[in-house]
Amino acid sequence: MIKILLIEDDIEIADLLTQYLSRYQMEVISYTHPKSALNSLSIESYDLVLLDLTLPDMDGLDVCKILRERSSIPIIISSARSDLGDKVIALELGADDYLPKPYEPRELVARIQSLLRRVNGKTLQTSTETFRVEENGILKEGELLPLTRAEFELLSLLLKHRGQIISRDFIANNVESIQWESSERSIDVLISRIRQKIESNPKHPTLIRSIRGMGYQFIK
Amino acid sequence: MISRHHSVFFKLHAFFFLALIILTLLFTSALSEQEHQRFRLLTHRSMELSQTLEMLKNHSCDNQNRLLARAGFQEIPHLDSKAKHVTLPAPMEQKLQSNQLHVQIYQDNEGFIYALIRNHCTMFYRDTAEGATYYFVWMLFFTLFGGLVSMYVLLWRNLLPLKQLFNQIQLYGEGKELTISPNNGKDEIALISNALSNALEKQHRLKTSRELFLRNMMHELKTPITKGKLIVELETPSPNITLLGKLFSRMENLIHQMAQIEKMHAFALNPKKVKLRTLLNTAMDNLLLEDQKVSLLGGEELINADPSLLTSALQNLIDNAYRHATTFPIEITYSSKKICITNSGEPLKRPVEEALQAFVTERGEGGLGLGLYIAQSVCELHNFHLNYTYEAGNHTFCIEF
Repeated sequence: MIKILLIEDDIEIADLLTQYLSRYQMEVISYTHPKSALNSLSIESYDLVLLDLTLPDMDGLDVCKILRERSSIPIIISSARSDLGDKVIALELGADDYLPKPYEPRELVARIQSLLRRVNGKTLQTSTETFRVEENGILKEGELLPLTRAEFELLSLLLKHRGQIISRDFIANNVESIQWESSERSIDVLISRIRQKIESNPKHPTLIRSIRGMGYQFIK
Repeated sequence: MISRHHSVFFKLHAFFFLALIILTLLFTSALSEQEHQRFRLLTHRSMELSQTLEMLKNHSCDNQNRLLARAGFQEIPHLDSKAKHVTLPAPMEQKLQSNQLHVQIYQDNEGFIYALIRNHCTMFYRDTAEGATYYFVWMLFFTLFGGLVSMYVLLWRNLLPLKQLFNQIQLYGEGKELTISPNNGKDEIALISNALSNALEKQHRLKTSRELFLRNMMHELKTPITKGKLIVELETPSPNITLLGKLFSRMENLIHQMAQIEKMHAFALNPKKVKLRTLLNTAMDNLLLEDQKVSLLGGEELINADPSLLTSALQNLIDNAYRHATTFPIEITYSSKKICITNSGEPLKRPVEEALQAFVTERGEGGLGLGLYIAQSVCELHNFHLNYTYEAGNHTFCIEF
């Protein structure tokens, strides 16, 4: 199920989109207020953000800027503001696509799927290693890593949020194989196992850093 | 751009230089006349001196000196070595000679000295009545010259706001921001400049408010259409839902075209050199036309136009040709002078002038009747000409650049 964060001030459109996108195995979590939406990003993991530009308290372009500073999550801007200036600024600020309203709903679905295909199939280059996340597994330098289900989900999550510090709560919340009741220790064990498989020297990890009191960070 | 000969500044410069030439000529003429007068006066005074001496030859020395002093002459013992000889013009010399008068005239710092030669003796007399240099002409010249230059500078400074205003109006016409500062002058030009600046500023505020209104209106109209389209997709397909979908699409199309018309009038032209082929390809891409339906004939010609607006005009003309064509491909020929779009079809049911009006359409349904109106308006904005001909079953719309 694709998880979409919808930031839209019009509740009716948010409801209609939630209903419509659910037909395409897309779960929509909508927020009318941008600050609440930004807060939710530190708790929940989303596959994509669908952002309106006309929002209360904060302009959508500012939200886009903040989102891009915090993570590399794919962003589609959909707005009735179709000025060329807005489009250019939005794309410059890091939006991946711009769909002016009114759009054909099927076009929106096609654009979401296309963007996710591009992002998920993308090769992720760190300073020393190359990773590729595919549906069946993760390839490091072109070789499939022998990962368990939980390791796969956790490494995928770390790669998706590379550069970000993610807390153990966030991991527990967004990795299905890790249960809520699992202790923090079990997450640390999983991280340790992943390090054994991807780090050249697991005792001195360079790819997954432990940040004391905060969580883990996969280097960019 | 104002031609040089029509410029007020050119006329001002020309007037100033003409006045300067006339003043110089008058001054030269006045100087020459003054010199002539001086020579006549010197001749006259020489004769007066001679006659006075002749009359006083029987008087005592004291009496002679007193009477000479009264006549404005003072005898001096010798001539200063710095004194310069004054050469009289020939007619004056002849006049003195005809009166048997042998006199030489000298000039030093204090004035004129007459050297009178009588009985092989030379006596020197200083003219105490005449001899001052007349600076009146020079003073007059410099006063007039100063006045003329001051007037020129004053007028030039007064006219300068016109130049600034012209530049501002030009920039405004190009859609740039206004940076008009109020003119503190009290003359008519300053008042006109300030009145025009105020009018432009008001116009600018109106334009900004119109843009804001347009943006808000578009936003408010587009949002319900988005909702409508989502509802249509969510509902179970039925003839009524299909009709509803068509209505939303038509409304969207109408809003899009109305926005184009509004933008055309509200925003300034942004012309640049663009390839005609690029504009045509963009227009055809926007219309999702298959390549085999259109025949393009032309090279890599460049044209100076607003790319967005001209693309919109071409798109509307091509769309019209495509929808009315009875055979394919429709033909597009272009050069640096014009572009023509030709399609086969039945003759128009109304005069072309009427078809170019807004909301006039040939079809019973589908078209909004805005395409040709937009094309015509874009041409007018660029000062291009949109021509129409119907020959041998073919409609041809040509834009002449």
